[in-house]
Amino acid sequence: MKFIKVNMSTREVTVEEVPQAYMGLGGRGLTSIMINAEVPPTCDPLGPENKLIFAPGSLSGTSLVNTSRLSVGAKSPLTGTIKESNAGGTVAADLGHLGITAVIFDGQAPEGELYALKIDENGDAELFAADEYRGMRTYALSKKLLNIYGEKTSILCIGPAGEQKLVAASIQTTDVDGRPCRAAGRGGLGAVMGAKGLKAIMVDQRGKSTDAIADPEAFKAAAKDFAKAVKDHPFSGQMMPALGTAGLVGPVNSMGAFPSRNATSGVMEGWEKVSGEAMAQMIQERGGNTTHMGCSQCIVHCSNEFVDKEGEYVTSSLEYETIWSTGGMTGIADLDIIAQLDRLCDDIGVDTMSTGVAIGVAMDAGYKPFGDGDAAIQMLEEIAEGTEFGKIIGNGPVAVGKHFNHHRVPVAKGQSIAAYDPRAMQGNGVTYATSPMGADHTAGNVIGEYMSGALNPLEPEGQVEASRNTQIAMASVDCTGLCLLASFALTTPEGGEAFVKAMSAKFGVALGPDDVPAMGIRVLKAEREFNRKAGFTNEDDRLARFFYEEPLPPHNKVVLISDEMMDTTFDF
Amino acid sequence: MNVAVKLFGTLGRYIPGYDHDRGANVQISDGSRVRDLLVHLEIHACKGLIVAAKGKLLKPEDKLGNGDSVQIFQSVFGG
Repeated sequence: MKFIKVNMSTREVTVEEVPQAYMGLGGRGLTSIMINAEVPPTCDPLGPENKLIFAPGSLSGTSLVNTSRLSVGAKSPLTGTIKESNAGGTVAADLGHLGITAVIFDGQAPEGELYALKIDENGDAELFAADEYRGMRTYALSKKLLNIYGEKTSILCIGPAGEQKLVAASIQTTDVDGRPCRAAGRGGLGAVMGAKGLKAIMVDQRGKSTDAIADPEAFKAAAKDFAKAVKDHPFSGQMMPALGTAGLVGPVNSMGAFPSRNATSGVMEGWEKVSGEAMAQMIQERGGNTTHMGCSQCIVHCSNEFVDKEGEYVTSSLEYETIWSTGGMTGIADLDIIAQLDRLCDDIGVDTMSTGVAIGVAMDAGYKPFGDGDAAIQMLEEIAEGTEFGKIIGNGPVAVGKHFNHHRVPVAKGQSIAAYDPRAMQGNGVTYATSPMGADHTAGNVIGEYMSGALNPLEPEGQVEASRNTQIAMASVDCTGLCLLASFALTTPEGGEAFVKAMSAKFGVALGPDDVPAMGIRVLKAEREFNRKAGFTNEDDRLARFFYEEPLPPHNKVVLISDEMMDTTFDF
Repeated sequence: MNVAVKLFGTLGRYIPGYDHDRGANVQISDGSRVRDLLVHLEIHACKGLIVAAKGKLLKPEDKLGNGDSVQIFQSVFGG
C-alpha cells in the first residue's frame, strides 16, 4: 500500500507507505478525502497548491471482474469545486498489481517545461523531461510511447487541449488494445495536468505486488459468485455486449427526455439513425466489433470498435453520452460524423460531453447551423490549432455562452448537463443541481427508477429521495474501482451478497450491507465540506435559469423541484 | 384492433423475420392491455422490458388503443 508522491516544483519523487488516516480508502474515497484534508479550498486549480491524484479502486488489481476503474481527483478549474473524474482501460488494474494506492502530484514545473513519469514493474517511479512530446495528439503519442517502452505499458496522457490548459481538457488513457480512447473526461483535469507541466504517465503492466488479501479462499469464492451475477443480469449479460451504452438512445428519446438542439427539444429528429441498434447494425455490416473488451478483467464487453465505410478503424468506444452531445445537442444525425468527432475529442484530449454541448451552444447562438457536421469537425480542429475560437470551444459551454452573450447554456456549477433533460427526468435534475461534482452523468442517475415504473419522471414527488439514494450508492461504488455497468449486479440478492463478502474477505473485516452506503455518505460529506470552504452555498445547488422557465417539448414541463426541496437532498 | 410495434435492443430476435425498419403490425383483441401484447409477442418473460407510446412509459396494466404505435425497449443505463 504505497503512495508515489511527485513534487513538480522540485521534481522530487518519493514513495511512502499509506498512512493510517488513508488506510482502506480507494478510488473516489481516497481522492476526495485527501483533497478535503490537504488542498487549500480557495487555491487556484491551475496553480501549484492544487493536487492531481490518480487512485485505483480499493478492489483494483484483485481477481474480481470489472474492477479496473481509475479515479482522478483535484480541484476542478471548470467548476471550482472538488472533482473526481473516472476512467476505465487498463491502468487501474496495473496500479493495483503494483500495490500503488495513489500517485499524487503537487507543485508546478516552471513555465515552458514538460515532464513524463514512468513507473516500472517494481513500482519504482522516475520523472524525466518530455519536450519531444510537446504538442502531440494522444494517438500519435501513445503509439510512440508503446514503441519505446513496449506493449505491456499503460499510458495516461494529455493532448494539445490539456497543454493549453483549456478547462474542458481531458486526461486520456489506453484501453486493452493500447488506444488512448478511454477518458477521465469531466471537469478539466487535463488542464490541471498541463498546468503542472505533466504530459504523460507510463505504468508497467507486469506488476506482481498486489496488496495481500486477508482471506484469499473466501475472496475467490465470492468473486466467482459475483461474476455469475454479472453474467446473469440481463443488462450486463445481454444488453451491454450487444449494443453498449448507445442502447439508451431509443428509450430516452421515447421518454421525451433526450436534450436536443441545445436542449430545446426532448426528442432528437432522426434519433433512429443514431440509436444503439442502428450503430450495431452499421458496425456489423462494415466488419467492426460490437462486443469489444476495452478494460482489464471485464466480462461485460460494452465497448465497440467503430469503422468507416472501408472497414477502417475510426474510434472506440462510441458511447451514449457522446452520441448525445455531438449528435443530439448539435442536430447531427450521422454516426460517421459523430464517430469522427469522438475520435477527434480523444485525440486532442477534450471531454466529448462538454465539447458537444459547447458546439451546440455555438449553433444555438447562430454561429453555425444545427446539423452542420463539417462545421463541428472544424471547431474541434481549431482547438488543436489553438485559435481564438478554438480556445473558447475548448473552455466549454459557459465560455461559448459568454462569448456570444447567449441565454441558453445548459449547465450546473459551470459543467454541462448529461444526456437526460432535467425537465423530463426531474430526479436527474436534482442530481445535476446538488452533486458536489456539478452536473454529472454517473453521480446519481435516476433512470432505473423511471424504467421500472417505480417513479414518474415528470413530477416532483419522490425525486429528491431517489437522487439522494443513488448519489450515496454511486459514491460507494466509486471507491472500489468497480465499473458502473457491472454494478447493476449489486441490486440482485446474489450479486449484492457476493460483493459484500468479497470486500470483507479482502480487508479482513466483517462488512454488512449497511457499510456500503456508509462509505458513500462519508465521501459526499467530505466533498460538500470542501465545496463549502471553497465558497459554495446552497444557492449554487441550482440549474441554469432557463431550465426553470422554458418548457421542454413534448411534455412541456420545466424543472419543478423547489429550491427548498433541493436543499433537503443532503439531509443525512 | 391493430397496433404497430417496434422492438429495440435484442428483442427483434423473438419475432421470426422481424425487420426493424418496418416494425411489426400486430392484431390483438380490443381492450387489450400492455401485458396482453407482451404475452402475444411471447416476450413477457424477458426481464427489464420498457414499453413506450406517445412519449410516455407505459405500465403493464395500461390499455392500448387501435392504431397505437408502441415501442418496446430493454432496460439500459449509460455512460
